[in-house]
Amino acid sequence: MSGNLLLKIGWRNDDNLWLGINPEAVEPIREFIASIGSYKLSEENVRNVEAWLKKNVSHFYDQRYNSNLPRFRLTKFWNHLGDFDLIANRLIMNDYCNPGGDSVIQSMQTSVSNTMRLYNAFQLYG
Amino acid sequence: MTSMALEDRLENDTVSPSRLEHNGTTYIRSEYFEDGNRIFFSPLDFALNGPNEGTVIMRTEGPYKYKVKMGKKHYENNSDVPFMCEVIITMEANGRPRCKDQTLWVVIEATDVAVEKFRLRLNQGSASYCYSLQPQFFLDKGLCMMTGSDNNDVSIAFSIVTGIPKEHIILEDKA
Repeated sequence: MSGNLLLKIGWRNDDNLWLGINPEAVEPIREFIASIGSYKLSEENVRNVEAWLKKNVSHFYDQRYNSNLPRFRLTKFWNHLGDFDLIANRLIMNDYCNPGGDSVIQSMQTSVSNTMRLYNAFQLYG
Repeated sequence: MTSMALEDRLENDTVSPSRLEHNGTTYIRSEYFEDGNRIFFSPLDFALNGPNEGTVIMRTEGPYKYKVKMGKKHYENNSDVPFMCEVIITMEANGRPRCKDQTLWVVIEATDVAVEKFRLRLNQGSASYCYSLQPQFFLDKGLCMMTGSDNNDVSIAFSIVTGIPKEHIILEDKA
């Protein structure tokens, strides 16, 4: 029981949802998405998913930087971003999102994409 | 050491022209999957040379079975080339339906109708995600496709059956 307002109950253990996902990726993705449970939807914070993620799933991010950069050692999440996108889209397709939940899920996808883009730029240009 | 052009290295009979003229008709080479299904070059190729309306094409890959049924083709301004078409996607895994009769829009040209319907953001560089493959479920929920949205079961199933990449972007400078 998650008490989650943005996602409906049952998504964590729906076999249909996790079909074909790399077993190594399941737990990190579940943990990352489950963090949405403490997200309070409002006009003010819907655009601030990035900062909110860094604070609420802090071990996914390198805290030495102001911007969101991935932290690889504590989670395998960043190695399976294709699976994360697939799960995020399945949550939307299979009606697991309550009103507003699908927008936050999409914002999480954008944030993750931006994080990796920034990381790659950081690697290239320092 | 003398250099040789690639043309010189190849035997004459191994050169495969990409176009063949025969009895006044131009034939373009195609690629096929091992199971005989045609690999389509683009959404336009699929719309023009793909299945007729109501026809189903299928592929099986491991425990997964994919069906793509051609739906209605949409035309504009008396053109004989559709600017978008509907396809119905069904996917089974181990005999159990995974997604059933999901509508997917294959957008061939970004006409005004297509831009408005799918809220396409053209000419915005990497900020725009004008995917050619637009699943209906995003529209049903009032969403538009964003980064990562192409990685969904409906687009993947279509991509596996037709060979068209799920990331295919609508071309804007097409003649």
